[in-house]
Amino acid sequence: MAYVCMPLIFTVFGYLIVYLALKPVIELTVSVTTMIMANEVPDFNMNLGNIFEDPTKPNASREYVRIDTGEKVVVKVNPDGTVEEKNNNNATGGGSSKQDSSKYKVPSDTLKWPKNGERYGKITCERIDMEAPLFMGDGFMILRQGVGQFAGSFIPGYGKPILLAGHSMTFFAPLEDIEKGDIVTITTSYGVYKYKVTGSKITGASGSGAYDLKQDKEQLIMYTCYPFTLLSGSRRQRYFVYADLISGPKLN
Amino acid sequence: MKKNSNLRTALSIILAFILSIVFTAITLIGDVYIGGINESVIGGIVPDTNYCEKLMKEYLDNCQSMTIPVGLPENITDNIVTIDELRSDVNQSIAKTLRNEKYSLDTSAYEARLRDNIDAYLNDKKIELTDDQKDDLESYVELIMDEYQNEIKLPAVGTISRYYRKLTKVLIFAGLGLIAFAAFIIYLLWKMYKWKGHSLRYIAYSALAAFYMSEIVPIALYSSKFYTRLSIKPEYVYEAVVYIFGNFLKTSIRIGFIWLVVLAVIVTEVYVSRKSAKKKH
Repeated sequence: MAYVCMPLIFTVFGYLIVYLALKPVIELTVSVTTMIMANEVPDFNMNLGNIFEDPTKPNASREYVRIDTGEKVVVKVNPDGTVEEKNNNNATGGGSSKQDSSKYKVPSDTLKWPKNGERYGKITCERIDMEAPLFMGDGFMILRQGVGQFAGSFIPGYGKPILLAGHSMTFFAPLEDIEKGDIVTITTSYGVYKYKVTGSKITGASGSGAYDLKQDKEQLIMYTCYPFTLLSGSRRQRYFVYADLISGPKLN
Repeated sequence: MKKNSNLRTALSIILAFILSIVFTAITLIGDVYIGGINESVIGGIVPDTNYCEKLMKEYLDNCQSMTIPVGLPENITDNIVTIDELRSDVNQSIAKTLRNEKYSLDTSAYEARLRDNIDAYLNDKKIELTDDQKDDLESYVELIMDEYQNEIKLPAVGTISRYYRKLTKVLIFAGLGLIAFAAFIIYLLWKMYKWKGHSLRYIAYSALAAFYMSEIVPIALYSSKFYTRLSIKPEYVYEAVVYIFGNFLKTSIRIGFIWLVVLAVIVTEVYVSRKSAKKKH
């Protein structure tokens, strides 16, 4: 019996003494280790997340709040950015007409904020045949799969600038033909936003001074490498395209 | 008489406890010396893990990320380096870094293959490059080759290896000192009892306690596989770190079993000496 008990008692006291003597070191090691530990084994696959659900699909609907009355309504979102209010039975009534979505707000409890690396929408411009998935974040992996939003800018509807990046030889190649007055559409799970192109600019590789993210205006700023030729390289210039919001629901 | 006997028992328990701590410390030194980040463990990273395969994947991913913006096809960097060539380059890099020698890698063969791929593509598309584009092409090729050089290099290995060599010298001195101290405690226990079976019993307690103390934590950590949840990128570095952690814990578990062997020998000796004492009487 002593062969079992004595070693166990020694073990308990031994661990206790070591813990008390090295407590600061143990606590520091544990806190540093937990900082660099994840809940699961890391997934090194290239798959990015996706929270985008096209609100313009035939049977889809969204809950909005009317800005003038504060009333919650269920709407059908049209691809052209307009909305139609549905009646109580969730069907568009005979008298329901197309409304400008700018008259509505998106309730915050229905909004899912995109995390870095998640697809949350798509960007299109019909005239220049541009269509690309839209992701939050602008890392290498994201730009290989679509257009990336600089995480320090804001999402559509927030009333602040949106800075988007894309490769000039892939998703933003059509920007070469974009003109003032063209309409760029961003479709998110919570609404359709239309922007009118107001101008463009060519800058140096750093792009410094080309945009202001602190302005109180929802301006869409798209940029890519310039010129739009093979082997233009990432050390040459940048091409910025600016567009102002013309319609879209506000975020609450 | 009884008071002396109680005192001797108490003293024996205290000495046995100290001996168990010393045994555990010796085991820990052995764990770090044999299973720590020494040259044989570092040398095992390439053959015993998917380090090179993951490194190749990371390199090709990075090459594609650099290729897309310049408008060349993503697969233009495929097959410019084979997995065997990469493995050989990594092994040479590790060997030279551990010997504290500078490693300069000759990438001319890989560069030639990349240029062949680019030329084939340009000829196929009938593209004539301007002078500016030719300059950009040279920058692009240099970028791809620099990326390979950076991925193959293992500067951390050299630094860790140098610190580890200094640490092992300290470990050897500490280990020898602890062995001498353990021998002293065993001598004291030996002298305290007329019948040596009593002394051996306390040494057996120490050996078993050392087994428990040196096994419980490594077994718990190895079973939890906590080190597989470390957020480390890129994947090939993660492979190497997981391998090093796992190897250290496995080595610690194996070394701790030495105390069970010691315990078995002592218990057998106590049993045999008790039997022979009974026979005499």
